[in-house]
Amino acid sequence: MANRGRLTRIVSFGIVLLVAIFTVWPLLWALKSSFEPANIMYGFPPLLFPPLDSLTLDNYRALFAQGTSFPNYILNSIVITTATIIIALSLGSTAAYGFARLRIPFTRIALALLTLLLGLPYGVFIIPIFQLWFGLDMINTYPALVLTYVGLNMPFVILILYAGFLKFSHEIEESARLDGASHFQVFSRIALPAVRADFMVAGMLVFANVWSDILIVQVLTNTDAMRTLAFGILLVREQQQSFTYTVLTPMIVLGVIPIAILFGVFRNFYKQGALEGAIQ
Amino acid sequence: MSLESAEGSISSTKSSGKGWSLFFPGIWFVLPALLVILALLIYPLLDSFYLSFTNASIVKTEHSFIGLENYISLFTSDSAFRNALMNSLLLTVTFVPASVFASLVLGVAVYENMGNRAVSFLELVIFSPTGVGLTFAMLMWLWIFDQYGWLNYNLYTAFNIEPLNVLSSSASTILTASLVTFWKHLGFNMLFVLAGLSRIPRSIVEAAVIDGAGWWQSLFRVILPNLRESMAIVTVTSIIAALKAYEQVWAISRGGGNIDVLYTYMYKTSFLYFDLGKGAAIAYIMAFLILVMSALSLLRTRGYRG
Repeated sequence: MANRGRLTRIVSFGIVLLVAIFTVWPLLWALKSSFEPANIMYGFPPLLFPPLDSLTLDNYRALFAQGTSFPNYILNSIVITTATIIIALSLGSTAAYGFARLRIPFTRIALALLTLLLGLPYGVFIIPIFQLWFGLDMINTYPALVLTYVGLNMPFVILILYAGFLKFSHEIEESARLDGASHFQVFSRIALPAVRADFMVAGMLVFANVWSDILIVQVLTNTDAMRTLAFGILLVREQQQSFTYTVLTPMIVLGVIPIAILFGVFRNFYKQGALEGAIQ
Repeated sequence: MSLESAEGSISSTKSSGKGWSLFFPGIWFVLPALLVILALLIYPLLDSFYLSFTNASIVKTEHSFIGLENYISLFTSDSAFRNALMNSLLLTVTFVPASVFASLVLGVAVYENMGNRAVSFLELVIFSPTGVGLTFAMLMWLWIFDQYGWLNYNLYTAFNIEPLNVLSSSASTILTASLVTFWKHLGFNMLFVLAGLSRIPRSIVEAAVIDGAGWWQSLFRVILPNLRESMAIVTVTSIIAALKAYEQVWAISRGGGNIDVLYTYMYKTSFLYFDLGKGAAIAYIMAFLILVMSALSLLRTRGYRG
């Protein structure tokens, strides 16, 4: 029996290890390639371990050279993502607190509706959204993009934070109210700090969604100056005639590695936070 | 107004006069989000539904009601739509079972090594693609499969396998998109399995062992039946992810391999061919498929339990 237990453990460890290698392989491969000059990257035969002294930062420098669109793309991505995270979390957390604590009529129906909206593809919203911003002459503007992303991300932000608020007893909040604190003070000083794990989860999901979206960018912008990194990388790939990946790999690294590290590091929040709510 | 005051008086009888004071601040907390949701989700959702019965177009200012014509023409005379639908289904039937099976095996494997530091670290690694954008993910995998890449070179020299060109046919292209979707969602799906496993009381598993059940027996008799709910969630989220596939296919389509799934065809119909009415109809077909397939998988598990 004990031997059998050990065998199970060895086999299952092997499975986990293999899956981890499968997971990390494309990430590391892109990272490695991004430091290779074209003659090594496309050299023959291709190398698993390129000589260390051939590695260079030239591919990254080239992204910032005169006349490239990359600085624009990444700046747009940063501005739009940051603004969306701030606004979505502000609106979402106050709304979630209202639903969880402040006796809003039709709360159950509203939450069921949000769950339904969560499962729908952006496609069922995008045509009227396009007509709306087009009618307001706000195509190619930050506010149109940011507000659209805020709306599309609102359902899960509210649902995650709502589940978070319900996990805590509201006795402390009520005694703070009796001591004369306003609803907003109770919300910002007591309730919000209590759900910071769920707050992080919601923020990371908004970050990931907005950072990697291309549909909204395609529909609501039509100039190179307004494109974001996730869509810009496809444009760059079209324009690049040869040695495409000398340009693409550093863009992939900058678009992917920060998010991968963030999700890896903060993975435990998911285990405690959002998933418990989802399964209940 | 009368409705609001009725609500207020009901709640105030329930909790000694707090009804009004809680009701009004509550509205201010919810209102901003509510306005955004109404303007950017609810109204567009309803308007799309209406548009799907019209011949609305980007290049015309007027449109008229044409009944079910968009839906009928999609299914009867639009071969590009049928292709896209078949591709979406191919992606779904390859990705969903693989994803459910792999996350189950992986979850149990991690569970068997609970407390092992190395496994905890590997778990973080496996979770890390969760937030990665599918455009980037697709380009990364295409670089792995590149004709001049290390993988193909070694497959050729070691096994004499001709270099793979994953974009050579529409089926292999969709399978690549399926693989990339699988890669991205595996760690997230594993979490649902782990959450399910952590709910099974140790005492049940130990009782099975005392009764003389071997590892496989306790897996099939005790662990798997208790994971039904987790697996239903993994199935539903996977179905949604498969039918919503967009970036990973667009990343190929854009590169010249002219291939569509429902979502990319919806985009092209609406914004490249300007047919907003038909585009809205495709969007609603997608939403319908997502809702029906999700409901079916949820009902199935409920049935087992009852």
